[in-house]
Amino acid sequence: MKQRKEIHDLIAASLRDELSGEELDVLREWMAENEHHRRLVEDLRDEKMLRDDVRLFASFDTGKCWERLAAEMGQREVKKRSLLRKWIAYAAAAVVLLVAGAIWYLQPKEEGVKIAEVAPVTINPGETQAVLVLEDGNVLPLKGMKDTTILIGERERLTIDESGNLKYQLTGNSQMPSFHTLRVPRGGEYKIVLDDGTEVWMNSASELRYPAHFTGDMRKVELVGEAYFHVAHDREHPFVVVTRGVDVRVLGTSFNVSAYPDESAVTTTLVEGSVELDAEELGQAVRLSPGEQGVWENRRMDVRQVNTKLYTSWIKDRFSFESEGLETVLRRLARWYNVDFRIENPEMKEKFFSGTIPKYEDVSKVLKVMEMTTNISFEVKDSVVIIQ
Amino acid sequence: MQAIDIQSEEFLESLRLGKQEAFQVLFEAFHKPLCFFAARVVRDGEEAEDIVQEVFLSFWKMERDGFPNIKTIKTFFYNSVQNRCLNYLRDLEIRDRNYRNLNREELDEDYFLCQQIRAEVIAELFEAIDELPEKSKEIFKKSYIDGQEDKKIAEELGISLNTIKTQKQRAKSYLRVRLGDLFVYVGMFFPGF
Repeated sequence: MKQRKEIHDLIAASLRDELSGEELDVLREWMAENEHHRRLVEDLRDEKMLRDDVRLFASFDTGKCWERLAAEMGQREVKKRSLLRKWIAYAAAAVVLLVAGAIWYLQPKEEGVKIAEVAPVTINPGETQAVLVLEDGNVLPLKGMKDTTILIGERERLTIDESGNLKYQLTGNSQMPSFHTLRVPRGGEYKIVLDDGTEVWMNSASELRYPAHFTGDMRKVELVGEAYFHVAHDREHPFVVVTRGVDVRVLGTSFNVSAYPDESAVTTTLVEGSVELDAEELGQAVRLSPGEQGVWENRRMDVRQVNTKLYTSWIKDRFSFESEGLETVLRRLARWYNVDFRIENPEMKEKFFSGTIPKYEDVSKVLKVMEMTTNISFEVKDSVVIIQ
Repeated sequence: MQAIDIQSEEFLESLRLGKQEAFQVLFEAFHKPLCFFAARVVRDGEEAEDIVQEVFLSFWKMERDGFPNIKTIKTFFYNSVQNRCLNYLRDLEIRDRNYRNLNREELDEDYFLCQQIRAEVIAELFEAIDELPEKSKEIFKKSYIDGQEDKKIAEELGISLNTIKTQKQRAKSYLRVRLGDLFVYVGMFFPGF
């Protein structure tokens, strides 16, 4: 922000030929940063361009707009602008969430009309927590455990590192493939390193079943919910993620699988490497290339090109949406913040959202960002968030 | 009104309290740069004005305690306008599949930063006009921005034609000093200056 001001001052000064040698160096350095910067300064030095800019700038009628605004400010109800009315004809309206980083101004406050609706209930976001279910049914809560070694049976050890990630490092001659289940509740998140070195980031409300020690030809795990896999390369032993309806077969690669029971589709997004998607109904397995996404829905497999960042940003503590329906957006928020939403106005379901927001803000901040950048309003009642 | 310093604590306080005069000062300070910024993105001047209007209205209706200084307000304005612009472009794409005028990949943070800088550079140019003494400014604006004839201005303000001419001359020499080389551009923009 600080730099922003300096740069526009420097450019204005350069147009007036008032730059000192030192300032000129700063400006040159900024111009060298990228093509946009260089072009901006060149455009402004171009007489015709500058004249067009000045014309455009002067064309806005501040006085008239103020009168219009003052009139609307006096009214309690928001008068929808006429263009918006035209748009209602179009079933879908896309809405953009506030882009990351600019939410500092959304501190919760005690008073104030709009904010008071949301602020009274602070629903905190999820955290690193999970339970490990052993084959014999024993349950090990992993919440808050760090830098610990867990002994299982006589000589098998699991370690939890200082960031709270569970790591399997079993002895080479470990016997039976004992199955473990890692269960991450709503509001939780967990990273685990399997015995073969494969890293798995588990999202909220997800479950992974895997052998404590991989034996046999295949490395097979079962997933309900969502996880991001970074599979350790081992050509001899393909890694298979079994989900509802689809198996994802891999050699060594990174990809995201989303197979929540409350979503109609099982979605596999490939970041790098290659995976094969197989389902009973498919005659032949479908192979994905990096940047592709396989969507399994209604017993059909669709493959499309996607921006993989949108589907994997959750491991980097962000929510990303691109043209997602409100219901999908709210389901994702619900899992992470462990809060329920109720849509009372069915028209809202027609809305589409795009944008990215940090995950660790408490939910009222996220809702406020949405309120400010869209025409949705939320009301919190007994830990249920109602959309009017 | 010209005495109000928008950097001052008093000004922020009157904004917080919802004083309409303070809002007007704020509006006048940011309206054109924000419209310019929005228009550079959506390529539609009227839409740009609508977007800026909405942002100001939402600022009026929201709680404003969270802004420690004018800079944070400015950042809020630019961010909000940026988001609404993206929103608008998305709508266009949804209703018109052929609408691909703007390469959306180009619309990254850096692009917006450059558009903001652009708006602020042009605003800087215009600020010089605002620094003119009240009377010269009024005459200057009526004459060069609204394009009114000297005679009409004289009638409206109840001053002599001669005074108009002197004031215009004064404005010109002030701007020449204030803007240096940029003065050339002012001349280009205001024909007959």
